[in-house]
Amino acid sequence: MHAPGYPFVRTRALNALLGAPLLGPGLASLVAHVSHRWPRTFVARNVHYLRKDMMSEEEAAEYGALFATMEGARVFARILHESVDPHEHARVVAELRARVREGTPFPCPTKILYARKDVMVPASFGPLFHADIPGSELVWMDDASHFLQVDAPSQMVEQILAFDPDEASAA
Amino acid sequence: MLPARGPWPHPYDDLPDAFLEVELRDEQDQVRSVRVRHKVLGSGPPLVLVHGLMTSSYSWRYVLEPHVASCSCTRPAIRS
Repeated sequence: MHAPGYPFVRTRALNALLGAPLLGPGLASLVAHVSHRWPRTFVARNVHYLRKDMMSEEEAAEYGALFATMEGARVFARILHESVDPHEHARVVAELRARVREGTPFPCPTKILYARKDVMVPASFGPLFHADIPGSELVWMDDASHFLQVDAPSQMVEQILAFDPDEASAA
Repeated sequence: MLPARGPWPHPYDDLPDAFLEVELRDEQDQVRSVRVRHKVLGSGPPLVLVHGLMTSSYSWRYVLEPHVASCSCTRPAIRS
């Protein structure tokens, strides 16, 4: 799990900038133009791994395909804005907490794999999700940043295969 | 200068793409159809691997083969 999750200063600031009356559309347009003009560089600068040698030309080309057209680049800028909306994050958290108050169980057995060294989302959100999803299991991925499955693929596979939904729901 | 490929081998490019037509209602309540690219492999209990913003199903490239022994993996590439 590496969604922003809880409103925090970085997402609030980015959302405020992108939503500002005059500055916002200009900034979104700048993001779209830069990503479209230099797609591989944009990807290499914005996909963060624990190890610095993980990013490759192959990967930059794969993800850079999103920005091959200006339409794709503009859609990315719009989704980026939406994804850092603190009101939406707060709504999700409020929904989780309402379930806890009402004693409504979370709809499915849940195991949370959380990166200890995520450079984009605070590690402190892991325990918050764990508390807001009663019955969930929290597992720390110590040597992983934002993309757990790339930084620590073996541990990721081990944890997914070890997850038994029947056992988790009975806990 | 980036290396041509990442540190470990992976089968991503060898897997054929599959496509799914998904219908949804947009903010104006209009029905829209979205074509979702994904890759399917293996057999057994289904395991769906979903990627995040600015990436694709390629982000699961290193965990694919170990899972194939146990699961049927579906990896949507949402950007399509």
